[in-house]
Amino acid sequence: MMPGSAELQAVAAFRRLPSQVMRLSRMGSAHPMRLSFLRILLRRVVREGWVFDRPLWQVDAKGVGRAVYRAMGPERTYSLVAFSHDLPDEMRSDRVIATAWDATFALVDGEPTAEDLDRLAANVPLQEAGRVSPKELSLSRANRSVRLFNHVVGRLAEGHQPDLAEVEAVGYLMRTTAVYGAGKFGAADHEAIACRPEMSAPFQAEMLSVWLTRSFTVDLVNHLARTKGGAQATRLDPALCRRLGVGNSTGLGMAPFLVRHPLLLNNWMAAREEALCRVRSQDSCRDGAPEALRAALKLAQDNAASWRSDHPIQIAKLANLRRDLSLMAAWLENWPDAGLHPWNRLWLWGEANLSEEGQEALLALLLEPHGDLVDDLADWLSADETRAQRIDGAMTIGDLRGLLQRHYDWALKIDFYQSSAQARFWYVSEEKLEPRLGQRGEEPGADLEQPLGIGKLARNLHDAIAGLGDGEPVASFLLRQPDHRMMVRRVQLCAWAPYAEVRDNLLDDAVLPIDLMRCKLAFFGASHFDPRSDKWVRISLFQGEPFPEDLSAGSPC
Amino acid sequence: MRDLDDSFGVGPDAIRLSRNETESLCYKAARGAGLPWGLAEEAAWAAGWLAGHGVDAASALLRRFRDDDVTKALLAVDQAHVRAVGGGRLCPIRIGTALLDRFGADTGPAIDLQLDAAAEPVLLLPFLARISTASRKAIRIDLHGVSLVLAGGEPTDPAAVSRLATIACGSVRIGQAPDIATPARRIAARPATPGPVLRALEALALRTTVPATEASRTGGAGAGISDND
Repeated sequence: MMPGSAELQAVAAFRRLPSQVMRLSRMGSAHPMRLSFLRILLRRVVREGWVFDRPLWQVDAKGVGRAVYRAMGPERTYSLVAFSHDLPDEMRSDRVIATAWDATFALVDGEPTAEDLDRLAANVPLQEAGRVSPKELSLSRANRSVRLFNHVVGRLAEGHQPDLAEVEAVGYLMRTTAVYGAGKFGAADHEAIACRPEMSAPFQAEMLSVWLTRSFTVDLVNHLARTKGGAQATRLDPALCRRLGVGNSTGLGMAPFLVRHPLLLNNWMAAREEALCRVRSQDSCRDGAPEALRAALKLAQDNAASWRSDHPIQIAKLANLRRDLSLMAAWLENWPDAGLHPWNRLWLWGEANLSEEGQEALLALLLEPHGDLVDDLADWLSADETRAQRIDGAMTIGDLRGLLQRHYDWALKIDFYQSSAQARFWYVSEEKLEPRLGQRGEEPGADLEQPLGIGKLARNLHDAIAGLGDGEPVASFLLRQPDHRMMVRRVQLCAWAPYAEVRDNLLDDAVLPIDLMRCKLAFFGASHFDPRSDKWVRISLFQGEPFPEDLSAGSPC
Repeated sequence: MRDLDDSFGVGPDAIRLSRNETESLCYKAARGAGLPWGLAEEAAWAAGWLAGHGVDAASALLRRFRDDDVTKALLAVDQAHVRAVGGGRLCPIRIGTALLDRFGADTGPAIDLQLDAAAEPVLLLPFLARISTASRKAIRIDLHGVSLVLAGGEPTDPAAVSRLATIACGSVRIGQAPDIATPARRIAARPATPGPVLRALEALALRTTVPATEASRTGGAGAGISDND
């Protein structure tokens, strides 16, 4: 035996397997946690002492104009340029087919010159119909929560604070309907900024953009209240500001992302599972950790109490969550005792007694007290996806078959002749290239389906190589049948990226796209996941977190 | 085709695509042109690599898609001399991926062969660059008087890459070069893609989409209820 292998085996006992973790219903119960991208950003700006200000505010009495918010780090500065518009109510839409918005934004790499502002003013309000430059890192837009926004402006104009229940019911003044980064519409490619420490974790530019947008939403209501109410107007109370995040409205467009980026998905999952593994494998509790866990649980219970949805699926999950958090609180009264691996015993109790929703919430709670143990795993989260591109042509058909059987056993068991197994098809509509989900046999377009039915493709590959000799190289098979290149690449990836694949059939009648969306949004750090259907969700980002100006003023977060 | 022959200027509606935009557009256009999804992914990656090295790969790919003589015949890449059955032009994506499959390891034979009549040979470069990285051997390419060496995934002479991009079809000699250090990665300026090329690629990309119906518009994307709250 190699030295240390006993330890490796012992630690492996605390790691969850892909077969358990990479299932849609569990992914659809994911919670934000320490390694979420939003949390990584906030830790950095606090640790490095970033300074924030607002060098420009030119907004008229109708709320139309522009503003610039600056984030100054130790080496570089970033600026959010915001354009505020007068949008007629009937034009407000969250769909990707919208053409006008309440506010539009670009995150500038550095500080915008006067020429930059003019160029951005001509393009940013047009969003997809305009273009930005490599000096911009992201392009986004947001619409008002009509109900809450008007309520808040009205109350503040009268000199009163808004109703807490109204604030809690919505949780944001404005919601983004898209935040584009990574080279879209002419913005800088991610590779141009990926070497910067502050940009190396995923979606940091987008997170920074949304966080600064949050400040804009508060500034706008304060401004409109003042123009409406004059001297009697008041400003939004800081405690209420904290209760507000930035909403985000997401449809099916996000769902295929996890399938299209298997190496990235693997790295996110592997980092999180490694974090859980490290916590579970501790021999004992370090000082202060049980208290920190109890404090985190209390916050989670408060959060669950204010988390609302009208969707039956989410209502049921929230009931499970609230019940499971109470069960945790009760069980923790007698924990930890003096035994070995107390965190693992807590975890195993959770697996045996809680719903999936509760288990995934417990995962997030277990990480909270262990920043110094797990925060370095942020370095695992990004991926050089070109590594996943090259096919190993020298691999034998026999080895390929083995990989299929090991990692795609879930797919090989499916009876695809059942109509329910291929009931859905994913496609992109001609109209503004909007992703949609169709019912096979009931509507046209299945012949143009997107390659998201990985289970079926795995089965097709398995059948195609069934009669081939074990020793044939994959290269010669693919020369004859290049149609299988995509699936071969994915199968080979699983050999070294075991969490790369969603192990459920995305063509199935019962599939819930919101499960994919919730998983991705949990990694973003989104809270208050609120499905509006099985294909459309609202979430809130940065709710409960400090504002940039809180950090600049030196107040603790 | 007339617009694409304008090699002296890119036209007033040319756009400098980001690498991500190049890959995304080329992926959809490749699929719309009939490539299987896996090859479309690889065509997109190749276009992105070339764009990152300052080459307007989108135009090269469009010419490839429009070239009806590009053969899809099966080929044996073990031979030292690869040509299309019936004398047509070789598809650089199919050949590039087949060569990478076959020679992209640090074990096994070194690449040493000749391709007859490869269409848009600049599209071979990303795959050959990958071979030079994976096999840890420098590779030399010769065609039409242009010579190019790739080491560690990078060209020693970026100007030679640009010259290669002007060649529509050629006989390509690929072999070993003496080992040298990997050239420094130079970040090239984004190449400009002419407006007609972009529109033509977008038209190909549209072939992968489904025309909207009122039913799909309201039901398929999920937002059947009011957006406002």
